[in-house]
Amino acid sequence: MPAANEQDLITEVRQGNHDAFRVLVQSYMKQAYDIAYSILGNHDDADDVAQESFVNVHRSVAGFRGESEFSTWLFRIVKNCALNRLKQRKRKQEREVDLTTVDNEMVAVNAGVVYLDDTRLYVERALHELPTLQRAVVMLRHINGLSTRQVSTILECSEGTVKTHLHRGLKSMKEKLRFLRDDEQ
Amino acid sequence: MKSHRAIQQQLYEFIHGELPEAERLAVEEHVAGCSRCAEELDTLREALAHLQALPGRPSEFRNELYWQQFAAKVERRIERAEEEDAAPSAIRQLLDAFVEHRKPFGVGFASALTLLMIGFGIWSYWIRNPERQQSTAGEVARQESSVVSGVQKVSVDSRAEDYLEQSKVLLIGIMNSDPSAKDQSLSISAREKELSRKLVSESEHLTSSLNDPSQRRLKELIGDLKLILVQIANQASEHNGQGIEIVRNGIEHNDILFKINLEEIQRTSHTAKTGGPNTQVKPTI
Repeated sequence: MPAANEQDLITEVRQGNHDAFRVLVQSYMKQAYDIAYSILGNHDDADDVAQESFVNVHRSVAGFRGESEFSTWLFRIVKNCALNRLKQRKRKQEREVDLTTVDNEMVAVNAGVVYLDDTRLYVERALHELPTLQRAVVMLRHINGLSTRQVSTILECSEGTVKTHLHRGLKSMKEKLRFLRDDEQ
Repeated sequence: MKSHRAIQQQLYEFIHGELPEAERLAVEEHVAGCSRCAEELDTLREALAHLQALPGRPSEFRNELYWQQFAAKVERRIERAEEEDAAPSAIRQLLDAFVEHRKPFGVGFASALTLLMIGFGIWSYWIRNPERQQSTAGEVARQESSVVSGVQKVSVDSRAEDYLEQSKVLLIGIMNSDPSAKDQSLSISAREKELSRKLVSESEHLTSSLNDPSQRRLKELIGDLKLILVQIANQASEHNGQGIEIVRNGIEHNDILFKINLEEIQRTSHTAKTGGPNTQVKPTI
């Protein structure tokens, strides 16, 4: 979206124009969803956090001073909402029985028989088992196609940090999925 | 000359052809002469090959209908949020009411608790002191008995006083009758006989009622009076002359009128000391 048009839309949203806000939502909803999912690794949470992020944008758009691009401001809101949700989820998981270990054991038992759909399942699992920042960088950088600079802006870290997380994340995934190559051989 | 770490950080961009030509050549030369970085390059390529199994961006997991409804869902959430901001929830209202009325509620609660404790203390005292209950019940019974006996005593005294008064009037009339007027003085009228019978009946009642030791002399007086009154009541008209003399002799012999006067003086004196209603001394003979 051209910056001039976007600025006009933001002005109209500040004045209470619902149609202008709808245009903004439709312009960025998929990217917001992808960012939320890259951090949360869960479609239900990504759906809720993406909607919640736009609610927060509508509530605080009057305070948006235009010092950064609207997309940068929006994606940081999405990132913060997702990280808050992640904290809530971790606190909840600490109070409940940890089923992750049992799940992994089931994967190991069935690892000898790998079907086509299983490959995708294991890749997704390996991706979700990465530390949050590594997973987010791998997804945003590789799957969503964002540049190193864009990812560093959204995650509010240096480009060197993004590169480091990307390298470590991919290397870790390769190790986690080593058994797939052994089966092929 | 770049470090291994700097080269490894550029491997992803090297694979995707994102590096400027000069940097791409520098990485290419380094990897060609460095087995460690070359192995890292293979590792990344293998990992990226695995990632190709993924269907695409996460947002592609959602169908077109989902994205058509997304903006509407956001708008509904905004409306709900604005409604919640405008109207506090019932729980919030309850909390506000509690905070607003916290002090009166606290005072009321403290008062109720204090009353409850006082009531419990009294109850436990009575439960732990049954003797007190019994003694108190005994005191009440005695007080009630005392009140009853007092009422009865007052009643008996009042009747005795009337009895003595009527008897004295009757006896004075007999004693003061004129012996020269034979026709009338030697006879006891029917009215006097009737009064005597009533007084005899009253004598029996008073005698049975005067059980207190302090009333012993009054009881003896009533006994003496009863004999006189029986003689009066039984006087036959043909023996009126002799009969009236017997009565007069009996009155004089027993000092009945004197005893009546003495009793009345003592009763008047006692009533004056206790502040009773009948403090006026009645006239004597």
